[in-house]
Amino acid sequence: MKRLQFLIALFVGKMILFISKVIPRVSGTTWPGGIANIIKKNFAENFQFNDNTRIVMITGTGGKTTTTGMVSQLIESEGKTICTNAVGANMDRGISTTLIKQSSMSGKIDVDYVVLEVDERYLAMMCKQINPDVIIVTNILKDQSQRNGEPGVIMEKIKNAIEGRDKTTLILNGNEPNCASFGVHRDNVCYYGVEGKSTGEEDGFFDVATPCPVCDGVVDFQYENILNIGRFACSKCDFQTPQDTNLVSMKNDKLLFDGAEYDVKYVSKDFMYCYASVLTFAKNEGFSKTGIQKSFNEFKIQSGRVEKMKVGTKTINYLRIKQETPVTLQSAINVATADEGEKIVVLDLSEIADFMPHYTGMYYAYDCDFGKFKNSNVVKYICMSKVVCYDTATRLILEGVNKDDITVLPTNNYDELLKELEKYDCDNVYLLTWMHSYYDCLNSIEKYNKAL
Amino acid sequence: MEIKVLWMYPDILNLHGDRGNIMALCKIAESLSLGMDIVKVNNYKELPDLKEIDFMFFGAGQTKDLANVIADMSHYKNELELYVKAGGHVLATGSTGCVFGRGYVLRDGTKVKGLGLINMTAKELNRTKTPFVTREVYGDDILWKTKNGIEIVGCQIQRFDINLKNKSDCYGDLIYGYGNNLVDGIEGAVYNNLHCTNTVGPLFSCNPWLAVEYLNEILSKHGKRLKDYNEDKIPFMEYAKNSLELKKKYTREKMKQKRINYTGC
Repeated sequence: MKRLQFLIALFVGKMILFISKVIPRVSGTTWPGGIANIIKKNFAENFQFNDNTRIVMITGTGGKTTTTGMVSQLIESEGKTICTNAVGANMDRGISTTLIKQSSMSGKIDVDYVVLEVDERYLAMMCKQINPDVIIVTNILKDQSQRNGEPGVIMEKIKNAIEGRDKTTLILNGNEPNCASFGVHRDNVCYYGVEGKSTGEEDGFFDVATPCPVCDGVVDFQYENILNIGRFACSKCDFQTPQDTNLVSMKNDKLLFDGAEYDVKYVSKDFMYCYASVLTFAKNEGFSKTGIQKSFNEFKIQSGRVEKMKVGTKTINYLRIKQETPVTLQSAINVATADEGEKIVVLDLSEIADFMPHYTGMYYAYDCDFGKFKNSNVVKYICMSKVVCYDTATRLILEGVNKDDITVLPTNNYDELLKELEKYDCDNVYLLTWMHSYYDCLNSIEKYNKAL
Repeated sequence: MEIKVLWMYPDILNLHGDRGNIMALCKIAESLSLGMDIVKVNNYKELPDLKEIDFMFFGAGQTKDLANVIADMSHYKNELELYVKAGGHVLATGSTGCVFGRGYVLRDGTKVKGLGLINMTAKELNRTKTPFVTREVYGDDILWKTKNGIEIVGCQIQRFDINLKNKSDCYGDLIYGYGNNLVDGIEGAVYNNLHCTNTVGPLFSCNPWLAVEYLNEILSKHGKRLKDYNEDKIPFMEYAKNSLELKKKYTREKMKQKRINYTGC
């Protein structure tokens, strides 16, 4: 009876998948799995894999999609077959849809690897249904507070998911304290990290440390490659970046790992961590250096975190942030301030519209170092958005930016921004905003350039 | 004179950019040519004599860290009680208010005893009825008015339902948002000059007028007042006022949508 229920659910899922190709309104990435999950509880547990199929799950608060894409590319470059949800549909419905797509009518999935990006809140649910051989955890940082509240909530969920799974290999970011803490008192763990060096800068009065996830102390960073990610040690207990962490580093434009050199296209620290996790995974699985290099050559990011847009004589450098996630905003600030040339900085932190109710939280900006802007040749700051523009301007004021250097645009209309930009001679513009505003900006630029 | 401020557990209680409160306080004091001495305290061993202190600030913390804070504070609970009874100013934001209550209960049934300075209890969220985003968290804007009629705006990332024994011990009345528990229509808790609010934002950067109110009260305890006070001296006062108006409009629009029912609207 259970088997029959599953086959009906699978058939319905495949039908919806077919319909979604004909009717664009029907989402082919979540609907088939969503309906199948309603028809058959724990739908995903009924799929049949080969005995030697390896199941890999990738989770964490940031970097999941890129890491999943890289791991998938690696496996394909090794000439192996794969089933993956690389498009980012990473909750139960999306994962079920992925499995529906790749299975036969009887629910058989005949591949060497199943690689699943799994939303951090859904890991326990998916682990119960599909027993993973490997779990890669990218990081557990402040992210989507409206949904997650605090990193501790996600940590509890991941702890529950991995508890008792002694045969599952954990690949953990050894430079991120929350993530590394999952490996404490556990075998079958590999750590990865990125080499770095201390800037030698003294902490300022307003700088604060991070609570230790193991004891009630705080962790100090010997160096930080990204906000709250780097070589660390607790000031109270012996918790620290593990000694056996697999480190990558850059030398002469080559990525170094385990005595080998690799050519890579993306060299920002965020990508270095993705490369480090993939290389650690590859080492564990015994993949060849040639296959790894081939995958690095072929890998392309799906959506740009950094894009250049021409508008008249000006170049707008779009830097993508994820709202409520300080690490992405800090990375964007780091990129903008690394450019020593004269620049206009446009900050559109926007209202948060991920879930209902939408809201105006921008407290995450206070976890970031806006002080970096002050010494980076910014000729004008433009704070825009329908509601939080003034709060953004306040954030700059509290970092010592002169009020005369700030223009506030209480709008999310990019036509108005482009008009405002006409007032300034500087052609180099940095726009820090989230993905939706980027698309609004693209539309306005298209209109603007046509009118020229 | 110099106002003496303790920034309590800055490394642990900084969940929602809470250091922004201290940044805002410093900027306001500087703009008004007011001396301010801020000391960071990360454990009871670093605590100075509270008789010398004008204001203690506690930011929002993770649920697991609140128990550690209570354990540390128990070392100076008596001194703190005397300080509060004597009218010393304390402000706690986010879930940290629970520390000052009688205790809280976690979802797994674990009971944590608080300091008992305020007659309130808290229960970790486990929402199964709308409105909710997830069971553990409720995030939204919040708009409320203190008993003195000061409008406060910000947001809240609520992890607890808070119940005051006497509703009149609240910090203010809710205009929009979740407040203490979505039902009572009240926000925060007060005992003498110990104030707890669920509002993050940070509170003082979004509401500099509240920081000015604190400064005025502290100065008046010393028999002084802000000389030649002119709010235009505070460089972000105008921004905060404009922001308040935009957020009031924004919350009014949300209320019209009626997709979420609020008590206290």
